[in-house]
Amino acid sequence: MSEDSKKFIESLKEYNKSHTKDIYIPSLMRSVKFYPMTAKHQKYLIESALDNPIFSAVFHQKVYDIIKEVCSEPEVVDMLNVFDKDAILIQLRYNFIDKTYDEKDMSSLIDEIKSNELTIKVDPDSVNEFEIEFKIPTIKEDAKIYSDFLKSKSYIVSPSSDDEVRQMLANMYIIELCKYISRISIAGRDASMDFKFHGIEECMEIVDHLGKDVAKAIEKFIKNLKDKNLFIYKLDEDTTVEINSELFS
Amino acid sequence: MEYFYTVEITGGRFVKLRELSLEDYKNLQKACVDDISFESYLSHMIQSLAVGALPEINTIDLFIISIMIRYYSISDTKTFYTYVTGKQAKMKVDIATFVDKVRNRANEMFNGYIELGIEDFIADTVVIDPMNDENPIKHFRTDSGKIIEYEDGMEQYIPASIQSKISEKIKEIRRQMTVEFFDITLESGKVLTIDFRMTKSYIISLIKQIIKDDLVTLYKNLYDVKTKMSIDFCEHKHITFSEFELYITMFNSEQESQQREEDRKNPMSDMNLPQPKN
Repeated sequence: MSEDSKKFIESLKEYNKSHTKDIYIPSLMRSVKFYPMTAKHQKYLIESALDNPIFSAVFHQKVYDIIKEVCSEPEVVDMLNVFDKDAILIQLRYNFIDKTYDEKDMSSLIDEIKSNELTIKVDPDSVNEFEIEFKIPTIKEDAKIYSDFLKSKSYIVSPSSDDEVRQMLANMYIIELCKYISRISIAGRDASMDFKFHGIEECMEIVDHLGKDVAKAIEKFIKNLKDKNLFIYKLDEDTTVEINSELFS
Repeated sequence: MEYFYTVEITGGRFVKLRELSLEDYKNLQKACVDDISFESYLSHMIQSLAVGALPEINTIDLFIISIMIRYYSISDTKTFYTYVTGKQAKMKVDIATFVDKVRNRANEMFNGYIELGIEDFIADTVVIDPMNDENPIKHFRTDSGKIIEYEDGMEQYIPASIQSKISEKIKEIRRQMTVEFFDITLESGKVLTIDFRMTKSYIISLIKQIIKDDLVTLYKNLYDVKTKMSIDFCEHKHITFSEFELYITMFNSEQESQQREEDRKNPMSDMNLPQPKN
């Protein structure tokens, strides 16, 4: 690279450092400064559109990597949870790519994000002889789960038959349950499993054998949580902001 | 003093070029049969023919320069073959007229510059090539007038907002320039409509079509003068192609004249009659 190009890049770095934007983090109830997203980040997210549309595993991975790079408080990144993700992504688009979506102004969504409060209650549950301790997955854990699943034999980039689609949907359901489980114990026996010490395939194997009642209880916990904390961001009756790679194209 | 000519490219800019040598012409024709290296060879050839510094050129400029090299160094026309009502038809096109139309239209549509208009950003304009799908950014110009060539690795630092602005402009240009139709009036008075697709791959393919000539005829001519007149033009590195063509024309004219003289002296020679026995 030429000397002039190196100096130009140094100037770009200085420009990026001095042009941070405040991004509101719902779980922290405060704003954190983020550096501008770059053309490279945008390219990664756009490329992730080629991924399996049901899982979008690459997209989730890239989102974590990018947030880690652009957040000015690195210690905060690993505390961000999955309910912060959509809010962060919308604000990243608004501040660093385009203030409109579908040619409509997004500023009303930014106000909405700041006024939405998270209601997170993580109480354990017992079903039959199983004791379930729940957790809210962080975006780091979310990315790791998808990263591990991407490398597994069960992951199919482009399903080519109805059976493969059905299998993928089943896997997606099990993965979603796994994300919110911290620990499972069997009452009266010295048997428990801390999910954070096991890979996703092992966790999926365990959840597969838990029985319908336990799965329903976990599902209920997730649904309650999402009903209160997963917001649908709409600009008007006809325009819902989709949180996927197209948000950054 | 060597002969130079000037070509007007887009944006009111000019490029000065020297004539094509016989060697250049031969290599250019060889490059025309090679899809992979043709574009790279063409760019290098233009660099070597340019007199003085070559300004930043986009794909339309590449087209203009390539065709005008043919105009000045090889021929001012190109014959296209097509089919009209089932019959093959030849159409001789004045290539300078075609180039003028392409240049004027390109000037109307875009100048390749985007004014960034971002306060306190280090560059105030960016030069693009909307015909380049992979990497449309050519260079940045700083507010002090310095040109910074775009290099691999810079995308890690360019703010996405600026990249988006550039992408929007390129999309706008491409939307306007998908296909243009140019009407060229032929010698016969008929009008030929050429649909000019504004994509890089199409333009490169059209350049090749226009500048490609018959390499076999070239080698035949070189062989003929070498064997009949003991002149090896390949040893004359600086001879231009147009000079070579003049020599060939004179050589062919002389050959024809000699043939006519022989035919006059021996009118029965082409009837393959047996020689009378004395």
